[in-house]
Amino acid sequence: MPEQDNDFDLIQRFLAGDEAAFNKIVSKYQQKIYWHARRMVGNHIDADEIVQEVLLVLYKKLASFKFKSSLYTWIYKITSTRSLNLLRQRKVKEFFSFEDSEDHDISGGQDIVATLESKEKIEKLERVLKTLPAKQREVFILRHFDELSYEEISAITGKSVGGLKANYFHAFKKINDLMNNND
Amino acid sequence: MTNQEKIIRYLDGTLDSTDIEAVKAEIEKSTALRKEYERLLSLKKRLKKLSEVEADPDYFINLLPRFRERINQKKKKSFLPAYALGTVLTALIIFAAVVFLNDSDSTLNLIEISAQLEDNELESILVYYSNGNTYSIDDEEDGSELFLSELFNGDNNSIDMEALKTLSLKYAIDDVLEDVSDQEADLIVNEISNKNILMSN
Repeated sequence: MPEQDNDFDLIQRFLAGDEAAFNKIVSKYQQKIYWHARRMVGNHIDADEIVQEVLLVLYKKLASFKFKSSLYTWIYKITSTRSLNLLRQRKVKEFFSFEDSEDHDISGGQDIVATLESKEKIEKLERVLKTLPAKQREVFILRHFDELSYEEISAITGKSVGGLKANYFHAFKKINDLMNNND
Repeated sequence: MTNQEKIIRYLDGTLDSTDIEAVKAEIEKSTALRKEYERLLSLKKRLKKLSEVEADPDYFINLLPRFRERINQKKKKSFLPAYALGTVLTALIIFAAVVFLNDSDSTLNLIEISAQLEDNELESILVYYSNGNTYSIDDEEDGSELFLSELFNGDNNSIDMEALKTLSLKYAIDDVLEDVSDQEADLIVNEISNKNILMSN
């Protein structure tokens, strides 16, 4: 990667008024943001809304980014927080019977997943992930799909590495039990 | 540590070097353990495969232009929330001045003022604010004190669940939870999960 495209330089250029630098940051991280949000919330519409919110936060708050962590982990932190907030909102809505927890399909068929095979795959994955409690799901996704180290996940979630390993183990065990029963 | 736990941790790469060698040796020796290892490894691969999906490339191509369009729209409307918030604050200050005019010891801040308001007064202010609110991140940071003072009884350690229920029905629940901190939101969700409230209809 050319030196001028590293995160630090991109942020500096953006803060100096270079909007193209922000575009590069988005291009670099948009897939990670979308797929992390998608796995967390389990549908395209909500994931898309989270992506837009995360970009807005980046746009407005990059000036206050202190480089205490990497931009990468900061972006994951924002995405995860937004996703967890949405899951909380959903749970509260379900409690007040604003919607049915079993049939949370607001997508109306809208999705970016193209082929039938891909649709089947992602639906199966979303069904499995939905069985995990939100914070366990977060750890499992960050570890298994985003392939982050426990130290990085700790920086994102604020939890201890030991606690995260336990979370991952319980999540994996739960998925194992579920898949065993379904097979 | 159970055998299954050992294997999951082994596959996750989080065992220390001594344990890795021990687990390897056990897998070599025990057919049952080797089967369990192969099954869990296969599950891990299957899960990974499930995440490998083909997505419409246009979505990512259009993502940035859509964001830019949204930003431009927000810029055009950005005067409105500030105006609305300013109006609410002015109304509160006038109200507070009238109510506390003769009370020189009163320290006036939004939370204390809002605690003095009758429900209908608070509601009219919130409705007024909600009507002019185009909702942005700045609003989240500035506009939530009134609501939170109602919700958290002022101490942030306990939730007035009846207030949550009432206000949730009146106002957008999304906005409610956007305004609370993670810790506060957890508190709400936990209370709800435990069904630790009495709902009165």
